[in-house]
This record gives sequence, C-alpha cells and structure tokens, in this order.
Amino acid sequence: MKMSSRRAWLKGMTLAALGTVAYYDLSAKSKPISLSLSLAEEDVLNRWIGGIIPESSVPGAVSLGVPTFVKTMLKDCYEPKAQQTFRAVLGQIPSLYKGDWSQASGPALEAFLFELEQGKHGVDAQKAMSTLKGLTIQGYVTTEYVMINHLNYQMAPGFWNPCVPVNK
Amino acid sequence: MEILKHAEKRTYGAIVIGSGIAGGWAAKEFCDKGIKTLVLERGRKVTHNEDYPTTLMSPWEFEHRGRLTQEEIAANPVVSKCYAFREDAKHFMVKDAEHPYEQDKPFDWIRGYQVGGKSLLWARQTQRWSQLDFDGPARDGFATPWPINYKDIDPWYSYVEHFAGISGNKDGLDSLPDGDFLPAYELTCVEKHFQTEMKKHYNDRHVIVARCAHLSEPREIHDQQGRGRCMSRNLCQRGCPYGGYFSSNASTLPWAAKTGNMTLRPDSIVESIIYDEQKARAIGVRVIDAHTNEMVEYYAKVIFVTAAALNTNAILLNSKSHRFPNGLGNDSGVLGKYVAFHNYRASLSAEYEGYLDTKTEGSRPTSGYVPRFRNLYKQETNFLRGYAAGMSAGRGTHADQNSVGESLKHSLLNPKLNTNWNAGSHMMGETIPKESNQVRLDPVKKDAHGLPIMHMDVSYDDNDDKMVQDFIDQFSEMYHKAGFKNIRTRDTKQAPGLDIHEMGGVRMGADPKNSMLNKWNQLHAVNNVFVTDGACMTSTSTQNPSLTYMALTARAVDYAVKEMKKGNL
Repeated sequence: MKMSSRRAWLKGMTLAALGTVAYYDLSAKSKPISLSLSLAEEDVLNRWIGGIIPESSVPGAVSLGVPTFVKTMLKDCYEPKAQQTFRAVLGQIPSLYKGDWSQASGPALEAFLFELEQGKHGVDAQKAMSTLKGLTIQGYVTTEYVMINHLNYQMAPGFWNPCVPVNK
Repeated sequence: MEILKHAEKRTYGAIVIGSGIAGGWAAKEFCDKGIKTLVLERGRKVTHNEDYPTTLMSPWEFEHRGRLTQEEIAANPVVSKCYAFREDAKHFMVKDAEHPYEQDKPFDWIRGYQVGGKSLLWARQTQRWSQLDFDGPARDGFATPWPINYKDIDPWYSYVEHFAGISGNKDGLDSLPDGDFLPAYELTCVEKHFQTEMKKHYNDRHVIVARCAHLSEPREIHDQQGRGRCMSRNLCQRGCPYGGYFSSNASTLPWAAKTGNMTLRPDSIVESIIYDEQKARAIGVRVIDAHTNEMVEYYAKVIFVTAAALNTNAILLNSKSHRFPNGLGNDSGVLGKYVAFHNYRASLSAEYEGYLDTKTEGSRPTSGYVPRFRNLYKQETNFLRGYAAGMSAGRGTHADQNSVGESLKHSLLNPKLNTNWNAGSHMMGETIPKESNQVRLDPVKKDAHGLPIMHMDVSYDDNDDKMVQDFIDQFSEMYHKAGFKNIRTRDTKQAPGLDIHEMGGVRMGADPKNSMLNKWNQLHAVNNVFVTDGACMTSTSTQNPSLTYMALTARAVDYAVKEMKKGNL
C-alpha cells in the first residue's frame, strides 16, 4: 500500500469509527477555498507568489500549490482589516509595476518585490508584501515535496545524538 | 423488586470519577485487585490509537499548518492561550463555550474532557518530591503540615515508575530523589557545559536531564501493555501511536479493561456524591448523561474522586446533604480554599558562542532541568520557597529570508546551522496556598447540564513577584557565569491556571479542623470517599505534579482495598 493511500485509508477508518459525531474535520483539505478572488486577482496573486519563489529545476511555490494555502490562511487566520488591505493592494499591484505586469518575471519582478518590501510603494503595499512573503515561505517549506526532498523531514526520528561534529 | 434489581445492576465495588492520570491509576489498581470498578468520564470516548485522528498527519496535511483560525481564537480567548491548543490537538481540549466559568480574578482554566483526560496532553515530566518538599508548610509556617513524609510515598513512586516507564539518571540529589528509571536521554554539549560551569561556580545548583514518562527502552511490563519505544516524534499531544509516553489511554485503562473488572462509562458527568445520613457514609454518585441530561445513580462501597483538581472541588462542593450543608466532608470549611498552582511567568534565552563545530541530531522528548536550590535547607531569601527550572540548549537552523526569487528559494532549500547555540530556561515556582485563593459555586448561574458555574478567585501575591525577580536575577547571573551572551529575560505575567498545575482545595492534613483528607487521601468525615488528584495537594512544591498523583493514587487504592477486606469501608 502506498503511503498516500495508506494515509487515506487510516483517515477513512478514523472517520468511520467516529460515525456521525464529527468532533474534528479531516475533510477540511478538500473544502473549496473562498477568498472569492476574481480570475484577474488570482492571476496577480499567482504571479506575485511566483516572483517570491519562482520555478526552476526545482518546483516553485505556484506549481507546489502554495497559492491555495495562502488564500486559505488569508481567509481564516487574518483579521478582516488585514484581508481588506491585502485585497486592495492586490488590485493595485499591476499598476504599481513599471511595465506589463502580465509579463513580469525575472530580475525586473524581483526588483519590484524588493521595492515593495522597502516600502517604496507605501505602507499598505509593504505590509501586504510582508504578509504574502511570510505565507509563501511558510507554505513552500511545509509542502510535502520540499520537506521530503530537501529538508530531510522525519516524523519519527527515533534517535538522539546530543553532540555530533558539524561536518559529520 | 424491579427497582432493586436495577439498583443492583448499577452497583460496583468501586466508583472512580475521572479517567485522567489519577483516575486511570485508580481504575488499574482496583481492577488488578479484583474489585468491580465503574470509571465515570464526563467527556467522550477516546480509545488508544483508534481516536488519535491527527497522529500520523504530516505538516502539509494541516490546512493551516497548525495555526488557529481567527474565528477559533475569538471564540476561545482562554484555551487559545495554551501552547497545545493548535490545529493538531485542539480536539482534545475543552472549548471556552463548552464549560463556562467565572473569573473573579483572571484564571485560565485549561481542561481535557475525554477518556484519558489531560494524560493525553501532559508535558510528561516526572520528578519526585523529596522530604524537603513535604517539610515545606511545617518548616515555613504556611498552609498546614503534610500528613505524610517522603518515606510513605517512596515505594509508591517506584511502583508507578516501573509501570509507567520513566526515563532518567540516578543523580544522587537530596532535592530530587532517584527512582526506578529507564535509560536517560543525554544532555547536549552546551547543556553539559552549563552543568560543569554551575558546579564550578556554585555548590548548590545542579543541572540534570529531566526525568520523563517516555519509554527510552521498554521493559517486559511495557510490552505487556502493548507499548513501544518512544520514537522522539515530539508530537505527543496528538496521542502516540506507539504508546511511547505514558497516558491513561495507552497504559492504565487498557490494562484495567483486560482484567474484565472495569466498566468505563464516557459522557457521564458526576452531579454529586450521594451521602446516606443513616449509614453515615457515601453510597454512590448521581450522574448526568452529557447528551440527554438524564440523571442516573450508581452505587459502590468506595468512591475515588479524581476529576481533575478544580472539578473535584466542584463535585464535593455540590454534594450537599443535611449532614454536610457546605459540601461533602467539609466540616472544617476549607473545601475550595487554599488553591495553589505553579508560577511559570518568567523565562530567559541566550546564545553561546562555543562548541560551534558541533550540533545535535534527531530529537529527544525532554530537556535539561535545574532542581530547586533556593531556601532548600533553610530560609535564605526575602520570599518563601523557590523554583525549579527547565534548561535546554540546541543548535537550530535558519534560512536567510532577506531576498526574493531564486536566491530566496536556494536559501530556504539549504537551511544553515545557527551561528551560535541557543539556550533557554523557564521557571517553575512554588506558590503558597492561601485561604483567599479559592473556588466556589455560583448560587444561581447554571451550565448547560444544570450544574452550578464555578467561580475562580485565585491570584499571585507579593511572594510570587519576588520569586519571579529572583529567578530572573539568579538565572541571568548563572547564564553570565556560563559565558552565555545576548541574555534576554521575560515575565509574561500569565494568569494563574495557564500552568495547568492547579492544585488544592481538598487538601490533606493531620488535623480535621483545617484539612479535608487524612494521610490516606480519605475524607476525614466520610471514610469511603478518597481524593487523589491535584485537589489533595497541601502545598505545590516545584515539581510537575502528575507522578505524585499517580503514586498517591496507587497508595490510596492499596489502603482502601485492605480496609474493604477488613470490612471497614
């Protein structure tokens, strides 16, 4: 049995054991995401996230599904005021960018994101960039792909070496 | 006749109220001794492994990667302060609206209503008390003297340690007696450095690895429980699939069930203990079904109240009769009073610039520990008693997040060891039980089950403030002497309760005029009712208390069964 199917099986068994008494909702992952962004806004968000952690020989944030995580977090874990500010900045991003946002990429996009971080496009844009960068990083480094392939994630290490040489 | 038959069906040798650390032990001990035992748990059924829905989930499977939603935080201003109330374990903790209470003074009441109670969630630290701790109230003139000494509980510590599985070293300290330990987890090199430096600079400050209820190397007794070695997941609050740490769910309850003597009844809220005026003893309990609010009575020769400290207080306070108008066994008037807790307000962090060619690998389920050194043998400071402290040092990793784009990605995928080692400590201070720190029942307001709402009137005092300052001063000095840099101190001023070590209200003592329980944890005035959870504590000392509840419970059941056999109960 593959790990993923085993996990699904375990979840199924747990839910079956619970019957109709749902104390916890393990189906949350499959719930539709609803920050209710327009398609145009989705595009802006994806390009923005893709600029923070782009694609290369190693998958970037967009192909690993980080935008879905970002929207979930913005919707559920941020105050309405922060959400509104973010939404407003999201709408302004294409016009703040000097050039054709729909083609933004590479060093030009990075330079723009750096300006956002520096506050050169205003405090709200700076806050929105900080929020998005934080969430993109969090989402990216906790994807299955990155944790397994790059960060040596072990759920149950089962050992403890209290003092080993750094270059071991 | 029918009524009698029904009553017989609801009659047991023993009733145990609550299935947490203490209740689980009472259940196991009664069942092992052949007593038909009814275990009543107010929360839902949680069976080992079957009901740990998040235990095998990886970080990416959590929708919010562990975080709470705004909605959850807004709905739970109290429990959301607790470190364990996160996406992976929130289903094991009581939401604020589920069981409201009144804070006459700020008090964070953190609860776990399910089979196993908070034993699923505890921090698993298991340090013994010493005679120096039991001597506290008598020596320093507070509370009331303990009616037991270390020698009374020593064999029972060994007894519960053997079964539960406690990892630790034999450190040979007066302040923290050794026990029946499984192999210890090792200190890191910087923790060992701190240990050595403390020995060099002080003659009274020891650094050891904290004893903990984890199976570092299971024995036959643990195999018999179906428990395996701790795999150092450090995800304990989700429930452990290996039974690597001790919980009622993994250990005592399945053991009790195997005897065939246990009836476990979840969703059963005890309304009160029934006192029979003619027989001058307790004869059973009134139970409210958590779903239907239907009331049922159960009967037994002996009743153990282990509902968690403050709920134990509530049950006794609500058990009123002609003989006991102010709560069961409350002739002295001290029921609900002298509540105390542990002071966890202060902590500090620092860096160490040595051992930079070393790091740690894997993980361990415990940390370093500094047993109490203040006022140990005599009064030395401007405050009473003292504090123990956690102490840990590790070499974390970090990724530079200053850039964006490919450079950021490269940095995230290749985290670097922190430049220095990071060290941290937090205090675990003894608080002085006072009459004014008390809980009581509201005369009018009721909860959804028709039970009186509790009032918490518990606060810090001047002694606690002085102790916080002393911890900060002393540990800053100790860190400085160890060569640690960038020392930062913090006083969270967190409310009492968030330590989740609330104790007292039904204290033990030799004198029935100022205590509730005798040296066997038996109500002075109702000898077939016992209290062995945190409510029984006369004083708090500094150690994480669960191990002491386990030992007191096993000891009290042993006594109760002997008394039952003699026909005295």
